[in-house]
Amino acid sequence: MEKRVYFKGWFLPVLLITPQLLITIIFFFYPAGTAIWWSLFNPDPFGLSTKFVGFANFDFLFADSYYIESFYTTAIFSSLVTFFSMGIALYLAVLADRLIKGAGIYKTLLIWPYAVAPAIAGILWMFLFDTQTGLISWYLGLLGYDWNHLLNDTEAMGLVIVASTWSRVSYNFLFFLAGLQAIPRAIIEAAAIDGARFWRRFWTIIFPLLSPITFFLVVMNIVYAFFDTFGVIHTITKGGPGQSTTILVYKVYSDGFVGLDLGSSAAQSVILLVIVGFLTILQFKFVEKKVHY
Amino acid sequence: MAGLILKNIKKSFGKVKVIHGIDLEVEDGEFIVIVGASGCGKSTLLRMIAGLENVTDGEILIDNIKVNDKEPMDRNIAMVFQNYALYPHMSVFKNMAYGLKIAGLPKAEITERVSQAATMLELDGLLDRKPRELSGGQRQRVAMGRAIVRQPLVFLFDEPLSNLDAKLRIQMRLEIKSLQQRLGTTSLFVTHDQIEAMTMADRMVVMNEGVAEQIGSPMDVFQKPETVFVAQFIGSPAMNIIKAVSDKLSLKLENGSSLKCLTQSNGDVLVGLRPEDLIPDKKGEIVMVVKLFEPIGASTILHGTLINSDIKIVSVVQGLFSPKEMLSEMSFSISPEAIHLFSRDTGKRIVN
Amino acid sequence: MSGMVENKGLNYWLTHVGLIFGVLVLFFPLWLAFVASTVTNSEVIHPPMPLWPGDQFFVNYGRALIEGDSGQTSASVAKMLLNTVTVAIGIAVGKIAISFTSAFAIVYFRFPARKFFFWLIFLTLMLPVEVRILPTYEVVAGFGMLNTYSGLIFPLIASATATFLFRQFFMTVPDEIVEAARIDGARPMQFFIDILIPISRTNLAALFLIMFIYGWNQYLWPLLMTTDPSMNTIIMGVEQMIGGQDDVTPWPVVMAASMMAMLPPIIIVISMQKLFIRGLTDSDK
Repeated sequence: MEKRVYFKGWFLPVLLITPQLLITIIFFFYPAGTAIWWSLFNPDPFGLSTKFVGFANFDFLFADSYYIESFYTTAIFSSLVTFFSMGIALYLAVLADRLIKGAGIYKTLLIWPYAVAPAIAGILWMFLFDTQTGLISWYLGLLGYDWNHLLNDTEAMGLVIVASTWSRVSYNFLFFLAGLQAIPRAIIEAAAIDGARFWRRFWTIIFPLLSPITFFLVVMNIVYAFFDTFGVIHTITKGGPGQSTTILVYKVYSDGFVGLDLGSSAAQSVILLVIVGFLTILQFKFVEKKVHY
Repeated sequence: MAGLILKNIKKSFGKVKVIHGIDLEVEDGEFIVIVGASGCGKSTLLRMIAGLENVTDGEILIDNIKVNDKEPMDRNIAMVFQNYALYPHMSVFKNMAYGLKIAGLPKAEITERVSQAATMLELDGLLDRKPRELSGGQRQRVAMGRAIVRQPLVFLFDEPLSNLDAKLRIQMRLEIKSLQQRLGTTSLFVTHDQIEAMTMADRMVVMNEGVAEQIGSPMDVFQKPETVFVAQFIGSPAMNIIKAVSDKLSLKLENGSSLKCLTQSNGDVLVGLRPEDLIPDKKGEIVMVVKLFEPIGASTILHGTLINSDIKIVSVVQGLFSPKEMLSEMSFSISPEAIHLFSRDTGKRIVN
Repeated sequence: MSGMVENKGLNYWLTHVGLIFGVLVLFFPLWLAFVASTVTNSEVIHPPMPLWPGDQFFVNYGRALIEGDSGQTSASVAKMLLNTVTVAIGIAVGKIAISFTSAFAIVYFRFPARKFFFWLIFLTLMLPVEVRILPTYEVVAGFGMLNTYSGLIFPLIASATATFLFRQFFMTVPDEIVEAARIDGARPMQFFIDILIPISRTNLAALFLIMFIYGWNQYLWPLLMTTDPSMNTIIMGVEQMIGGQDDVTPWPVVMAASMMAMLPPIIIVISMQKLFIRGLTDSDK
């Protein structure tokens, strides 16, 4: 935090920081605070009455089997998406890293999905698996398997996981590749001279050296799976069938916006806030070593 | 008319005192070198004069005007940084012109001043280049050009040659000195290199832990060091300092040897002997057990201990010796005028 | 390069095969979407769909651009693209403008409560808009900003991620450059304009790209707050074109719209690849 050099005066910096401060307060802190308020006050959506209910909303949530289920759904969903998108990305990054030339071409060919919005990714995959017209579901039908993610829980979950993973691989790939290319060649050569073949080198040297990036990506992917995948789920399953693909953030939306239960939705928002806050702290404690205060 | 005056300058960072009261009067046009080891406060002192650090106590006067509260740009000074501090996105020309542009000088005059400085510094063909396209020496000259065009009352140099290789450093030393003589601007030059200080300074300020231990011409500082620190800091190899007892007629060194020397002091003293003042003499009182020797061309540096003791001593003898020729013991004598005496309590010089 | 020592032969080919397979899996949905956007409705409805583009390119794309889905729940793609471009640029410019200046204030000045403001801003990191959607909706509605560009933009520039990034960058700018500028007589804003901005060029450009794509790909927020179809952005607009289970979805037109929704960000990412990657890997860490 302490930089040696600075300019004198206080008026100018206060002026410069005001736009950010105003926008952040009005469009961030105030709504966040309101969410906390609502979670404790259970307002009705038409603004006619509010009453203090304390933690009743939270108690109710944790007693609600749908909500608990949503927790499980989110846990399964995010861990699978994280695992697969990171695993595939690592695999591809290791392959790309081995090439002396050509890595650049593959990089270009593999990073473009980052530009595709998760919602569009959802639409693309939904198109492939559409119950009536989807190419893949049609071929599965030929093989005797009747695909219908609108009725089958597992298929729905599988599809959203696939779409979300597809969408995220390139982001992870980029970071893993950068991490691999940052490993000093001398270390790898030394290991090779020491007689370690590729897989041994990988597990004993490369993977440990990648651990800061891996940790960082795990956190970022979990946040992605928690929030950015809203687009995937809304386009493909809308949280269904039943509530089998309703992850926590989706429930905030459906309970609040569709169901108009502001108190419950706000309480859910608060819970999500706590979870993300925790992840942020984790991120900074273990990853951002170069931050001094 | 004095160019720069420092009156009892003190500086603390919070509770930590780093500068303990420095007084200095710099004549107009003088080249002052502030020299000392890392951490002695020399850069801090320079930065206070520049206005980049606040003065905790004392006064700084430039051209007889107190400048303590003035911003750097209002003090009419210019500074050359150790890392050059060139604006990386601007060409050489723009780097040198920036300060003038801000001051609102007309374009024609800016161009004239920059061209003059460029010619003086042999940067003529480089005016359109960016700093990253220049060598270290060239960048240093651009930094100097930036200072020159402002035509300040005082030049401040903060270890500008430390990042250059040895050969370039020697060349730049001469260039800076001759430039300064040509321009006649009062200059303060900070360095940790005592040879640089000796070769460039009109007068030197030898600093140690926030105190100016001696201020004087290179000759004075070398021949009559005021404190043990100065004695050992200036001159290479460093002066030998040996404990001794004086009885007004002679000095009895810690190892038992005795030197003839008429002094006014009685009791415990510190004796200073410059390695090059030790003259090989078969009948000399100072006997060295030679442990190591360094041939450095026309002369040889001998490292060893005084006989009958562990006291380290260094001497310099003319001529090149081969290992076979090297004797295990060498005797030296020293002229009484070349013996330096210092008080054991204060480290200060005792006049013979 | 981890495999530099063993390079030719079987390993070499396996490596390429693996990578090519990965590339194909990533391209597959995109390719099919493109094919679907160039065929007729009936070809899509009666699977299997052809695997090679058809001849309906101009028909479908034209229809998408001009009619949308014939005015059911969405506007024309052309209008939606316009909205999206406006919002994306607005978000990128807005976020950078307020973050760059406040990072400058925090790093290069001392003022009362500076540390407090720093921590305040720090708190907004990584808390995405999804966590506060409903109250934000209320606030925006309260300002009368529903169905407006400002309403789409402001809540998405409120988090201080960019401020933090710029702050980290400023810490790497050598102190001496600032000191030299002070000695040269530069006032803070002169330093800001003459020196800080030019030095930050690459960071600014990279962040602009990232924020543009972020803004372009927004889904939930535009979904919530645009009730007027003419204010739809393309990402959420495409979804609206897909009918429910009873309606027949005009897949070719939807796919054409999807392609147009995807293409600008993809083009940016590929053409500015180096800059973009640098921005991502430098800034997210």
